Formats: sequence, structure tokens, C-alpha cells
Amino acid sequence: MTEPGKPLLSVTGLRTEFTVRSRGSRRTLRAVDGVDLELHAGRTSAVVGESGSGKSTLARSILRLVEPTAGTVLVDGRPLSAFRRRRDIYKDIQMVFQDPRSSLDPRQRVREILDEPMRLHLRRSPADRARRIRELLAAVELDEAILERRPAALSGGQRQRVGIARALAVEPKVVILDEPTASLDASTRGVVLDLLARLQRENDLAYLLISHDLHTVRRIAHTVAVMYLGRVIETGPVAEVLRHPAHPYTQALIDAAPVAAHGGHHRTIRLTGEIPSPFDRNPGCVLASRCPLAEASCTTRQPSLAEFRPDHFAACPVTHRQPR
Amino acid sequence: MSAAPGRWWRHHPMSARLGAALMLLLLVAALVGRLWTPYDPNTPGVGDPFLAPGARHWFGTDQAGADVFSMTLAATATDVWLTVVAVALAFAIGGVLGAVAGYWGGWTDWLIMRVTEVLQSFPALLLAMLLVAALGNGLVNVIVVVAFVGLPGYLRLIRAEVKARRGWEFADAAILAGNSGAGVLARHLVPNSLTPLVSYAAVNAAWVAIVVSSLGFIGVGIEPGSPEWGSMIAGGRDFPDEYWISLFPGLGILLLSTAFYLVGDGIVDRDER
Repeated sequence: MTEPGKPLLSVTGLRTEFTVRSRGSRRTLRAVDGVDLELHAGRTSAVVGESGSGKSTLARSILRLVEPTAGTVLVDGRPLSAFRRRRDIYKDIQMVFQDPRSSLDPRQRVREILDEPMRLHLRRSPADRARRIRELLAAVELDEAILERRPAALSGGQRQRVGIARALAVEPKVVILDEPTASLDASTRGVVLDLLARLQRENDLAYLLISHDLHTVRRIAHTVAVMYLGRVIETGPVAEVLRHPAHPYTQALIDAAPVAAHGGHHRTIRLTGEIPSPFDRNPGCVLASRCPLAEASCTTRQPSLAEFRPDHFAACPVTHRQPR
Repeated sequence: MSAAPGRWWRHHPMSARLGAALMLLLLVAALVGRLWTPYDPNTPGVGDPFLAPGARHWFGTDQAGADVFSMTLAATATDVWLTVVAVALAFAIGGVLGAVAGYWGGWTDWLIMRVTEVLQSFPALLLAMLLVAALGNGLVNVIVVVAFVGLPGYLRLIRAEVKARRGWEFADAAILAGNSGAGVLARHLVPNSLTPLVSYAAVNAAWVAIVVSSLGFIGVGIEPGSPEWGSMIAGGRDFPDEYWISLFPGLGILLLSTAFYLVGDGIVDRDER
């Protein structure tokens, strides 16, 4: 699968480090360690990984909610410095948050929640904004009666629809979906995913889906990047990666997921031990200490992404060498 | 807070209702005392000296023959006004400084907190007395000093509230909605942090009412001679047999302080339920 056109969001070598002070010593935690990513109009790229893999920090670094240490982020081909003010990037790139209970201001009414981004970003007239609020409600299939309610008076599904409508209010090109259905019950989940897919088609949006749920990824994403300890260890088209995972970590992730997420054939991989400390990393592969396939060279050299099959990259020289 | 009085009444416990009723009574008394008193509170000799409370002089008269009821009523406005303005000032300034310290952290926070700690290392009442003594008597000086001394409580409280909420997703969402840091603080974090501050303000007002009259009592309050409960008590302390000269202004302080305390306690109760 080839990506058509120029990327709407392109991330190169993004690295985000935190300095942690404990018992007088300063240590550096590398939460995101050199991530490359491209998003295209009308397409969804997913980033999957366990908690602690750095996928949320990646999203927050792209949005500059945390300051990245190194790397470049181009929004529609423009670097951050091309924007007059830092917050102007949020006209082009928005986010749907994981938990709408904590991402909606409990004191604001739905009308004000939807109005605020348009008032601050677009400086449209009140009549214009009122018309757009009605459009947004229709787009996310909410009744106008909820405009005067506060978040506490909404159901979980309604809240997440409000969160989606708020993200779309300024007509962004790129929307980051941070576990958009994690806080919803199973019946609402599917409805919200369908809604997101329809909104993408109608507005030609580029989505970056942050998720740990392969089911969600399979359902709405076109490409997927698997993250482990801050690095992308495998990336490619969703169907291809889930059916023929090349990296032992991806294989283990799929094996750990409920059966419905499977569908391909590959050997079963069981990782041993815990995610190692993000401090004190050994120079080799991030997975080496837990990997049943690890060889001596795995602990000494950091493998880089290599093309495994067309458009399908993985950072594992061991499986790369083996016949499938 | 914008709810109609009827709603407020239903949603608060009995103690808060009693406090609110007392506060209303004091406000009416303050207003009446401004417009009308049975006798001129500043004129001695409207009656004989040391008259016990009776039909002509409800609260009796003092050593100079001035009407204690008229003086007490006229002083109500002073004490209520001083308390409310000092609390409002401490609330506003402490609120802004605390919010700024809590949101931006870093050296701003460090500086604000160290100054606060120095301020808090003095006993508050003693500090207030020393400051008014140094600055001189006067309405404005008393208000400024009492507000200044009361400020750390508000500052610390809102700082903690803002600091706790700063990492919440709705603060990030507010940035994405186009807010600057100050916008996030003013539009989202501060409004969500005010409830505990309001209950603290009410409890703190009870303390302020006592400090204000304490300053009057030791003679470092507002201009000597103007009606104020604390200085009235001081005026009656040489006459232990004529208890009414000190008793009624004392009851005034008690009522004012109790009213605020009950309301504050009631708000805390409501929030904890």
C-alpha cells in the first residue's frame, strides 16, 4: 500500500527525555526515543504498545504539551517556527482525549465547551459560531437539548461525542485520538468508532490513533507502529503486521490479545519477565532481556528498522534472517 | 454560588442557614446604624452616666452618658465593613499569587512560598498589631494589614488546588482550545478551585472579625473616637460593675464571628457530604 500525496503531519527523530531526580542523583528517562511518523489525509495511523511504551508521551510531544528534546514535527509541511504563535498549531492539529470525564471542564456547559476553541482560534462572529455548533452536534449525532448541560449530566458516550465535536470545531487537518474508546463500555465503543470513521471520510482527516487495543486498531487504522520502551520496533499496513508480525514483541502482543484479534499464522511467543527499567538501558535491543529468540548479538547492538516485506518494517535481525 | 437564595437554603445544613440568618441580621443592623440611631452615638451626655439598660437607653449609658445602643449600632457597619473588605482583599491577592505559584511553579513559586513562610513564622495577631503600630492608626491601614496577615492561608490553599488540577486533561484540552497559560488559569483552573477557598474565607472572616476588634481594643485600630466594638470594650474595662458598656459590643463581635464561622463550616459540611 502506498501513501498518496504529501503528509499532513510528519515526525522525524522525535525524542523526549525527562530528568528524574531521586535521592540526589539525576537520571534521564528517555520516554520517546527517535520516532519517525507520517500521517496522510483520510488515513489512520495507529501507535500501539503497553502502558509505559511512550505512546502517550509521543502524542503529547507532537502537540507540545511536553517539550521534545530533539526531532522535528512538520504540520502540513510547515515547522513549528512557521506558526506565528505556538498555539496556532492547534488550528491544524487537535486531540480527542482518553477520558472525557477529566478532559471536559466540569463547570462549563456543552455550548461553552464547543464555543471556546472557535472563539479563541478563529475569531468568528457569534452567529457563525452558533451555526457551527449546530453543525457539530449534528455531525456527532447529539441533540441540541444537551447544549445547556454540564459534563456531569451526560452519559459516557455523550461526553466522548462532545470531546470529538470540540476537537473538530476548528476544522483541523490532523486529529490525535488518545485511546478514544478506553473509557467507554463495549456497546458504545463500536458506535463511537463508526462515528470517527465517518467523520474521517467526510472531512478527509488524518488520524493518529494511540491505543493498546488491537481490536480498535484493526477496525479503524490503515497503518500501525508498534512501540516498546520509546522506540518503534515494527511498522506497516495493519492487516499485514497483524497477520505476519515480524518482531517477537509484536507477536507476543498479538498472542496476549483476545482470540478475535488474531487471524494470521505465526509461532507463539511468550515473553518472560517485566518491562526493564527505562533508565540504565543496555546498548542492545530493548527487548533482549525478555526475548526467547535473543542471541548474543542482541545485547550489544541496537537493531534498526529493516524492510521485512514491502512497506513492512521490523527491528529484529533474528526473525529477519529466518525463513518464514 | 449564583443559585437563588431558596436553592442555597435547601442545599445547606442547619448551621449554615443559622449563620446566613445572623449575617443578614448584622447587615440590616449595619445599614440601620448608618441611617438612624436613637441618639447621636458620638455625643456624650444624652443621658446620665452609668445608666443601667432600661426603656430609655436599651443598652444603658457609659461613663460619659453616651447611649451604648446607639454606639453599638453605629459600630456594626465599621466592624462588618472592615471584616468583609479585609477578607475580600486577602482572597483576591492571595488567590492570584497562589494560582500563579501553583500553575507556573519554578522560581516564581519558590519566591512566593519563601516570602509566605517568613510571613507565617510570626504569630498573626502579633504581626498585625506591630504593623498597624508601625504604619499608624487608620481604616485603610487596618484593612491592608489584616488582609496581608491573612493572605498566606488563601495563597497556600489555591496553590495546592491549582497544582493538583494543572495535570488534569481539561487543562491540556484548554490549551488545545487556544488558551494561553494565563487563559487556562483564569478560565478553567481558578474557577474549579474556588469552592474550598470560599469556605475557608468564611471561616477566616470569623478570625478577621476578632483581629479587627482586638486591634481596636489595644488602641491600634481605626481613628480613636470613631465607633468600633473593640475600642468600646476597651472603654468599658475600667468599670467592671457597669458590665453593659463592654457586654453589648462584645456580643456584636461574637455574633459576627459566629455568623461567618457557621456559614463556612456549613459549606465545608455540604462539600464533604
